[in-house]
Amino acid sequence: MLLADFHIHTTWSDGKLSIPEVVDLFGRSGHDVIAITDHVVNSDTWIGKAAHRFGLTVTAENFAEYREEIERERKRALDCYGMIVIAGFELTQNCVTRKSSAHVLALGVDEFISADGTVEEMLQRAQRHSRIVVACHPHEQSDWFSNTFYLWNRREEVGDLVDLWEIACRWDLFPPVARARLAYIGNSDFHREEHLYAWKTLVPSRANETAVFRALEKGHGLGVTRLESPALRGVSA
Amino acid sequence: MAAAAFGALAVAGTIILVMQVLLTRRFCRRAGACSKPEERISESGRATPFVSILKPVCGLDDQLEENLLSFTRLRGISYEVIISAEEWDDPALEIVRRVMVARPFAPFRVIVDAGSRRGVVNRKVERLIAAANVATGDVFFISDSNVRVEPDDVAKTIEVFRNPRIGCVSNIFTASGARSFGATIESLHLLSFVAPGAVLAASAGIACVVGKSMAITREVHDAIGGFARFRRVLAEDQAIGVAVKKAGYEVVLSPVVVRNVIVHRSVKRAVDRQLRWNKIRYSFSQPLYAAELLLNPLALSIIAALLLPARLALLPVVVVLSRVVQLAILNRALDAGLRWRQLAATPVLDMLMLYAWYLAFFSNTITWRGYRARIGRNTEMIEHAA
Repeated sequence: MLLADFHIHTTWSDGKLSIPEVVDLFGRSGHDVIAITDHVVNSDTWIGKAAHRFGLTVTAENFAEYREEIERERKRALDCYGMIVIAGFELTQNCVTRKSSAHVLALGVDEFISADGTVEEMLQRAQRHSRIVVACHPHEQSDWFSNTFYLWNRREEVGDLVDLWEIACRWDLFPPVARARLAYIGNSDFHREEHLYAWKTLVPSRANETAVFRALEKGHGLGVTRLESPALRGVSA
Repeated sequence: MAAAAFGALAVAGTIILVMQVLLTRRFCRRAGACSKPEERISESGRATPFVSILKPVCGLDDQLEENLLSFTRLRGISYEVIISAEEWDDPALEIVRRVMVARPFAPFRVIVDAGSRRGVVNRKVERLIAAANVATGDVFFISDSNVRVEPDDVAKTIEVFRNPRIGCVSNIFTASGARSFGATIESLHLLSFVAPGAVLAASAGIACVVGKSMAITREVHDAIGGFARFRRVLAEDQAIGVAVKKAGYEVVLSPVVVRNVIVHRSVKRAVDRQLRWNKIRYSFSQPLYAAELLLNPLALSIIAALLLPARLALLPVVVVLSRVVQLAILNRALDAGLRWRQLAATPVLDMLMLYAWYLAFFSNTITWRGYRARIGRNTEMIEHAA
């Protein structure tokens, strides 16, 4: 069973750690698979334009450099920790209302994918140019975080365009995702070091990228785990 | 006079036990019970509910792999198996992984969630809460990791939910595979006390639920406030049964017998388990618990024989023979697979049961799966002062 986290941000968007720092942190904490999924924010709304202005997104212009760094770290992670690193994005459309916001992970990318246009168009592009498409934090979250209900409210319409749904994200769990019988995974939505100990995915596959993607594509058999800090373990009564 | 009283109690106890045995046998026969592997569920074409089998795991149980494999061969239902562990490096998960690799199409899922770390909690309930959170089924079938089933057992068990008034069902279970003396003692205890006790309670209309293998509909689970309500209860199964009844649903006993695989066990561990269960029953009703002495006529007959050896010397022998015959009947009725030499250990079981019965009067503290707690009213778990 591989310990995996498919939702990690770095300084390429709004994360606090660089890709090498992320690789070292996750490698040392026993992860077998991680995906670097920095935001690609749409540029056709004023919220999206603001993200571009502040440099909180990967763009078509810097994509090659982003991909190159991931590739470099992929090799180092495998050598140093035996850890698989997957390249990805979090395609991001933030709107004024939570009902119209949508975030989608595109895993296994080799070319830039734009987040512009409608959510459905974004999903179609993600389906064409990545191996796995995941609906991020699709349900209610417990803190002030901007909720992203667009996909959840249209889960039947967009069902064919989404491969997996996050049933757990960081410290939140979304039981309605299970009740809707959607294939699911769990991720940390890592931005800062304190997000390391959070929900993760357990992948029943061999430790190579092809096998991991095959398991994700199959959808069933994936598990979730809430990884706890070693300091907290053993505290129970 | 005292000898006669003890002798009479021993005879009364024996009669009660014989009645219990006959009741159990009739229950199994009437329901067409004791599942046979080759027996198939009738194909009526009706829609069956999707079943989420919630399986808490903690460490390596005897023959865990074979137990899990038995859940890859289920027939007559659409289902998923949610394996729920506290730690993601629990050795049981390596066995789960092996099973998932060996049976890639088995609908297994894993959830690892330590749950609440605050205060004393029932860790099995924590695992159930976690599993229910990711379960997709209309029916939750709770099955301990040391349970092994035949392909049709789950389908047969949940058939009772065709009656919408039924909210909860549990299986009778017997032990299987005993190879050590302690495992034999535990097997005999399940056969002679637990299984007939469950039948007796069910016949009397008492909600008696055995959490080792039980099912509850999602609707009823939600109606009683979910598993979280039982987080601090040691006998969560019984508490669930009572809550289901209070919610206006029926609680029934399924005649499908499932196997609790116990291969190797020390006598101490077998007695510890009896003692824990004794303390649970004591906390529910002290008078009823005290009356259980009647179900151990060997001790009573020995006292009677010691008081009046001239006339009652043979009474213990008669009681022992009667007990062995009773267990042989149950062994056959429940298809428990115990051998004659294992049944011959019945007098040892009875004496150990007497010891465990006696101890429960003097301590309400339990130590189980690494935690220590006092048992309060209705088995509420109370933090044990260091």
